[in-house]
Amino acid sequence: MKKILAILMLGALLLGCNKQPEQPAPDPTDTVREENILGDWELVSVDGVSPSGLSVWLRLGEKKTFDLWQRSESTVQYEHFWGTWSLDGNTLSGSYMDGTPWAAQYTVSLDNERLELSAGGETHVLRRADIGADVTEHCYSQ
Amino acid sequence: MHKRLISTLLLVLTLSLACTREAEGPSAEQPLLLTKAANSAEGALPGGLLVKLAPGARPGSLAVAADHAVQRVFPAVHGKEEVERKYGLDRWYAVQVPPQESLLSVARVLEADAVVERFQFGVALERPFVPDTGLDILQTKAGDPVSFNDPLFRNQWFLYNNGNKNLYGPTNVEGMDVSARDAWRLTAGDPSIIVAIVDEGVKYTHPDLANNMWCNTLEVDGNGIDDDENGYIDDFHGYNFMADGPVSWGKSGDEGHATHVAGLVAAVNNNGIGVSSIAGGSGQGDGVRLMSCQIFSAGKQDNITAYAKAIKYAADNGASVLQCSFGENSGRFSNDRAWTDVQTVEKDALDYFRDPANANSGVTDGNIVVFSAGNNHAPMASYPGAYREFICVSAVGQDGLPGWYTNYGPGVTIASPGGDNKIGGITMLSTVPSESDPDHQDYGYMHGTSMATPVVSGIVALGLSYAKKLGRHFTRSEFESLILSSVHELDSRLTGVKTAETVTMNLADYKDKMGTGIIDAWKVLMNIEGTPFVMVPKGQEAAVDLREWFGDDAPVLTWLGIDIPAADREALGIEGTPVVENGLLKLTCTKTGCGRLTLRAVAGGPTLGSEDAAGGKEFARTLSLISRTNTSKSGGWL
Repeated sequence: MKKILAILMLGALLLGCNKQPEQPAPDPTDTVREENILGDWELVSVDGVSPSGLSVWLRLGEKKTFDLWQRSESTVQYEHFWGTWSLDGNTLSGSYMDGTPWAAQYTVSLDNERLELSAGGETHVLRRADIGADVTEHCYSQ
Repeated sequence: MHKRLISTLLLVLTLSLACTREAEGPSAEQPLLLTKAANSAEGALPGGLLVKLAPGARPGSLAVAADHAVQRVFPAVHGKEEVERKYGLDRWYAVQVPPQESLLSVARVLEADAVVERFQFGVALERPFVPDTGLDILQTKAGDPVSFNDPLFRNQWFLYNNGNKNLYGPTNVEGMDVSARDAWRLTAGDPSIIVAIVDEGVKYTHPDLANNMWCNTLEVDGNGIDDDENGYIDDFHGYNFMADGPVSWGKSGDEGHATHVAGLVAAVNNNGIGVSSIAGGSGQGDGVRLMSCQIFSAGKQDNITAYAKAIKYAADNGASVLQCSFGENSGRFSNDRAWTDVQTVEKDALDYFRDPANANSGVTDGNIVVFSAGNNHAPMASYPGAYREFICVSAVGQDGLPGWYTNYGPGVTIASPGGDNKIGGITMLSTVPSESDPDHQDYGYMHGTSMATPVVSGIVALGLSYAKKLGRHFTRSEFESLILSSVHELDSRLTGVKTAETVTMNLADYKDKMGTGIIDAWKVLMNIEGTPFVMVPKGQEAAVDLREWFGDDAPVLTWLGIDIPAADREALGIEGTPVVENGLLKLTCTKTGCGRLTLRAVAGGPTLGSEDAAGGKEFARTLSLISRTNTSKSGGWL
């Protein structure tokens, strides 16, 4: 009896192993890895709410540097911040050019060109979008 | 014929009644109460009176018209009829009174005339300045590199002050300037912005001014014809309203005041000669333009007609800034009601200038008026500057402290460099007409609130230029608030005494009485660009430092209120009532979100100017707030 059960379990395991390759393969770009989060991002919501009157753009560079442009609708030019970032597992952290750390270490998830940064119960959603010259050429540095 | 006979009889009757009134009038010991008079006959200037007719009345029906020349003050301008009527400018007439006739006797006739609504006597205006002689103009000791190639720039500490105590005086403070060099990186002017210099005549042929003079392209200069049919012949760079003719500057008694003022606003920059200026361009024909509206000539003024006509002319011909370095005696009026109640012709003209229908810059919805506070060393600004709707300028010296002469207190809204001749060093260098300069030079030093005021007017013009470049639009009130909040703090230095030769000033007397602070051109341009949003921590009481929005004097301002639209209050989850304490806005936001709120404060003194008392001017700024759980000290989003 024990042998029969063992054979059945082994069979089930083998079947399970056989099924795995049949599932759709995860999009490798959805995996939180450094190379997958590189590039330009635009803030589209905070806790599900569109940041009306606010424009925030983030560029994560290959050399672990970042550029951040932000402005409210009442200003003409963007404020430009920059500094360094690092990714440890799915935790994104960084510091500004003057050494000031980011406000938080963010838990990152990546889904179909959407980057979610969560910390302290607050979630920021960014979408992949090219940062135009209207942003980078109309800014002043902080 | 019959009608003419009746008219003649009526005229005779009117004259005889007038004569009767005069004959039966009160004696010198018992003067008639002139209830229609806008001002007192005491000290009235000779030459005539101004009369505002009752609505619908015709000038020919004036009793005095029978034996006095009566002429409309303001030529009618096609297309402006409605706004002219709005302020009654179509009803003002000048009555000429020959020197041998008593003004008071004519006033009595006007008082009794049913078609007269108001009348006023001419009043003397003061130009608060003093020329400084004996200063070597060509002191060009080495300084920092300059933005432009104007060789006398180094002598203009108010544009850029590197702390050179040998040149600027032993008490000079490095950085005591208006940050012009920084501002010029963004703009140095715009030729579509016109500043009306209401003053003596500007020497429009001056080599450092000629290229920045406004030109009336509808007029052919010097042909003796009123080509544009605006009522003024050959008004090419402006007009001499005093002499009813071309602008003049070299007559005996002329002091070069207007040319000096004009040079501070917009002497041509980067032309390799002379001085630099606030809004004189970069040498590419891009300076703001100067319109000469002459109301003084040969040390004289007329009976106020020229003054009023000049203001309307400026509005009708494109000026967006009215630069006025003059005023009435400090103390002549003690509050706004006293000034507005009299309904003078100049008040009507100033209202006309500021009316949205006459907005000329394309940036603001009304033109901007800048007046000097006066040089009486008095604890109150002169009117009209003290009126709560105008920008009124006090003066600081090279030491960043109040000039020994400046008026201060109620009515003053902002301070600006005006120089101080009693503390050593050089004062305010600008263009002068060689004809009126003792050494026949084209440049000279002066000091006074007369010089501080065009620095502000120039910065207003520079700000309008930059707003135009950025395509930004403001209400006049918003723009004035930007100007008044773009300042360096002054009050913390007002302790102890300042000794200016024989004058000892107790600086505490000036605390909170010099306006919002010392104007700064760079801050003006930054405020025109807009202020960055401020992040506040969600769920905690935030303390937002308001100095960025209201200047360094924010901790001592009087706050009038905080306005938060209901939708913004909801978006931010603001609980309770936000307050301002020591320049910190304290509020608690309970939601993640964005919103705006507007704070209102008093510019210049602890209380607003009112009908009953001269005082400050309301100014307001709007903040964009973002409430978040996570906020970085850097101000960055992440």
